[in-house]
Amino acid sequence: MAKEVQRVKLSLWERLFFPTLINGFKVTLGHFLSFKKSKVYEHKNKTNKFKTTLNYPEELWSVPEGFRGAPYLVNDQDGSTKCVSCQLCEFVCPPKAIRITPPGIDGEDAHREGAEKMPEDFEINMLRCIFCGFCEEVCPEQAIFLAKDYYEGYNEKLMNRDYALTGSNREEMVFHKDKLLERGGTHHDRIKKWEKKTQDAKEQESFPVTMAEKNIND
Amino acid sequence: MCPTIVNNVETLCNVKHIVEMGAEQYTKLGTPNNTGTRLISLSGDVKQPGYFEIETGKVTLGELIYDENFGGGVRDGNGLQAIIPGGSSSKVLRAGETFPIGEDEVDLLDVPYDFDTLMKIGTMSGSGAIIVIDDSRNIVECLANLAEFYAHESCGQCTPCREGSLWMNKALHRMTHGGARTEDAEYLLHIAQNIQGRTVCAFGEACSWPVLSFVNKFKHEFEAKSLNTTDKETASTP
Amino acid sequence: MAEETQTEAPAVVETMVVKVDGREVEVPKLTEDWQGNLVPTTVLQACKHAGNEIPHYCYHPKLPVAGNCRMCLVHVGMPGRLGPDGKPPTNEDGSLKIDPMVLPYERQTPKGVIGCATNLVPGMEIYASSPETKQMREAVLESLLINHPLDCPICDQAGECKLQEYSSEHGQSESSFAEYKVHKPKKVNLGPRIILDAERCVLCTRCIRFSRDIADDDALGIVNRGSYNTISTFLDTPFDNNYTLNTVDLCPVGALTSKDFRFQMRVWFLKETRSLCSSCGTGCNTLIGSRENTMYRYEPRENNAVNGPWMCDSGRLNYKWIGREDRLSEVTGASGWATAIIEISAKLEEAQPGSVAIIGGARQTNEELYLLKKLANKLEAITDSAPRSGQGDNLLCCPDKNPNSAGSRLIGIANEDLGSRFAEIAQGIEAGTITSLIVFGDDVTKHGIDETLLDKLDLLVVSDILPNATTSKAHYLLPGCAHTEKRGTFTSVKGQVQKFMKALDGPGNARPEWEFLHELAENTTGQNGFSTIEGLFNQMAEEVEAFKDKELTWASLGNEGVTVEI
Ligand code: SF4
Ligand code: SF4
Ligand code: SF4
Ligand code: SF4
Ligand code: SF4
Ligand code: FES
Repeated sequence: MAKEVQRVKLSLWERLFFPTLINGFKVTLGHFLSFKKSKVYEHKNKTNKFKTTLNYPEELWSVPEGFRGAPYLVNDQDGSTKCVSCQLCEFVCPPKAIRITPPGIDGEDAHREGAEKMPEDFEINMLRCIFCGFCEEVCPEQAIFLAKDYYEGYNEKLMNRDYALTGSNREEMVFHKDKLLERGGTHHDRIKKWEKKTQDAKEQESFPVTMAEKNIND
Repeated sequence: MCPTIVNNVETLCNVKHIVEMGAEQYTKLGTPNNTGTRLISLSGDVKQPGYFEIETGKVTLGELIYDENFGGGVRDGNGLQAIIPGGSSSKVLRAGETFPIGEDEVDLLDVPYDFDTLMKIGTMSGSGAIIVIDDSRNIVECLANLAEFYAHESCGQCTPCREGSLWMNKALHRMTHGGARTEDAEYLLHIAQNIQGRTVCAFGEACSWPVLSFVNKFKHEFEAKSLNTTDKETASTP
Repeated sequence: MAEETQTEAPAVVETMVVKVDGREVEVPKLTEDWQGNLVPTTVLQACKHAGNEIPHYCYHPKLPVAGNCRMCLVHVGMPGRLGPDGKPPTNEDGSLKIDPMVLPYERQTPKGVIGCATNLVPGMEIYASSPETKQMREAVLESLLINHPLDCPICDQAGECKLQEYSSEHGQSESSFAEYKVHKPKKVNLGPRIILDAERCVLCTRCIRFSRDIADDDALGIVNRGSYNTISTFLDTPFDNNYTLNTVDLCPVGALTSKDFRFQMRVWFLKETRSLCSSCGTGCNTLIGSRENTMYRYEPRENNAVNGPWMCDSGRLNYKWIGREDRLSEVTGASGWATAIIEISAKLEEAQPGSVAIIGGARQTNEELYLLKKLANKLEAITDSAPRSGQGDNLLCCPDKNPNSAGSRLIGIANEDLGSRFAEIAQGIEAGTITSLIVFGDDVTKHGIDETLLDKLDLLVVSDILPNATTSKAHYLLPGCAHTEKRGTFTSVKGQVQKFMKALDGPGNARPEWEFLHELAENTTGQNGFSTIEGLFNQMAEEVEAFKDKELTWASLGNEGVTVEI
């Protein structure tokens, strides 16, 4: 089923190549002598007139809209971990970059009432991650985002480096729960599913027969 | 756990007659195939609610409500709106309805109170408990009242009745507390249709028939409920 | 007895023909009920024969029928009522007239029957995939879901939940429900091993029927009415019989969950391995759920010859030792496996006939005991296994806590009375006639061969899994594997020879005992053996009478094993 691709016939002018080379040099030279600021980082570099390169990391590239950064965990507006350790992202992640340690029965109580659990540890190996966004898509709790500024409360200060994942060894490139939460910032979830559930339950007519309160945490 | 017999008053009443007059004489009472006597418990918006013993099929619904010997008319001079003819689970009958019986179109009030005729007109004489609803009543509230009873009575053994009876109750509660929606008539029918005929015991029919018949026969009232509610703030939100 | 029934011609199974989705299927007239009695086949079972599984919650083949969930509603067609001539109505061509069932009071509405409790009628047509049936299923699922909490992200059942499965298979994507949900108690401590989330319960009553009719502990019941129905124990009486965890398996949803497994791992990560419980002689069939060399749970695996679909709690929870930190993982007494085997072989070759005693624990596999027996034959060694006894009951638990006592007897390591030769061995050591002792999987100091006696030995070879007083005295310590870490067979107290598979890797340098025993036996006896478990088993089956009678091979054991004469 091979499809034959017709080669474009080059004219004599094109086959000389020199004109193309010269065109290329023109572009380079144009940039070298340019007084215009490049659009990509213009607002970050208000002072520099002459702009050929970016003095990274003192100067930062401002990422264009729609940029998807690395996956981070987010807190809700009360500062509680949103992730409930359902491990769907771990399952869906194509390169198996995510590794969650479930809390077990004695785990720390979930920060949000009613959510019952949260991960004991949450690791993302940024060397493995392919930034596909599956984890964000599958998450039933909106707890993980590959985000620049999709959501309210996005923390510019922490997040603006999200294209720069650096580390001096492999271990450093495995981000743990605390680091992921810190970088993820706060997500202003209007739904607050677990809180609503618990609230609903409290507001409801009292349960007909009083069951002895047999909470397992007692 | 010994077996216990609980006898209905009506049964004992019948036994008394049968012992007194003999079976043959007793079957001569009433109309063919609807023999003997029945105990009627007349309640609701009538002047003289009470218990009456009638010969099956010899008295019409109209007589039961309006005759001086029975109900003595609708209370406070109001008009009749509906009759529940045989206990709250039987299908409701709307005032002014006519039914083809034999050759004739028979008005609701001329329907004889027996087993077969009531069956023919799509309801049942059931327990013989007639509930009269006058036109001062809001029909949605009447149904809400019944639905609350049925939600409380469901034993919860089987899924359609367990979940459906409380569902209907909640929906009607919402409707009568300012949260009615125009689609609620269809919504109620959807719930009730999924209960009847699918349960362990006949309670499935018992709780779904009132809803089916009330909504079908008074559809406009159910649809109108969403328009004339004023106290919207008490509505429960979904 | 068993022999005779096998050779008899199989009883002719009476069958009948019903139509499922328009296709005629032949099904047996009678099927076993939960107690094994033959009762008329039901619609649900007929559909199963036809390969069309009807969704169900309350029905369970090993529990009495309850018929309350209504999930198995199907639309069927029945022959009409008998006419005045005593014959059912027929079509023009003389065939039986079948009418789709309708509600008697509303003839335009189809009526369903519950598949789990409706017996087949000749001529019956089952419309298992019709739009009518589909609508009934959708309605029941909608009802079940209106008050369901949809806790899936935090629910241990997610991934093996029948509510999830049926919802995606038979449910509708939307519900018109516009009210508040009923809220019920969550995280209720039902007993020492069980947590109840009443909101998730679909009230199928399987747990109630199991505890009442199978475990004989009428501990659970339903309190409150209607939608507020809640599973409960009687006041604060804990639900704590030795079979409670079976209700977790039975529960089609995440209402009953195991404390042991709570929030440990999501089920979709678990690799399932066919195994056996090693906690008593019953030999309940199990499935091991493991991920990356960590075991998370045992589940019973159905085997009607042994345990049915159940297992006891104590056996189920007895797996923690497998991952213990102090597991023996290194060879001691020699620099490694190769030198250890060579040195031991050399010493055994020099040993005087009769100067060696071998203890083959009844927790070792048949294959290992067989290899030990071969060694013993060559060395004219006296052999035995240590007894372990405990509490038994009428359901599954056996007072013999060794998983392979029967195997030890059949292979000839122990006699009828396990441990009866220990005294003789102790005397031999005392008298100096026994100078070498080989111990596999038993702590002999607990059976009359104490440390001072062990000190007298010239050679003490010990293989075990966990450290004990005997292993600390070993001249050569050979770390072995738990049954979850190797393949092999056990013989149950009733003579069921069953195999188990490997789920995990042993710790450190530990090796399956049969592997190095096979080397040892080969070196000592000079006979060639098999280096695969299949070959080894088949060789053993040739030599051990009871196994030979049944012409056992590794393959013929299948997943459920074979009963041998014991
Ligand atoms: S972005 Fe893709 S690769 Fe990276 S953690 Fe998420 S799912 Fe895995
Ligand atoms: S981040 Fe989301 S998908 Fe991943 S475990 Fe947490 S809740 Fe589940
Ligand atoms: S239909 Fe009958 S058995 Fe079923 S829940 Fe209702 S009352 Fe109980
Ligand atoms: S029982 Fe099933 S459907 Fe319900 S929360 Fe658990 S997994 Fe989800
Ligand atoms: S707890 Fe589980 S097994 Fe018991 S009734 Fe509820 S759903 Fe059924
Ligand atoms: S399986 Fe529950 S009613 Fe048939």
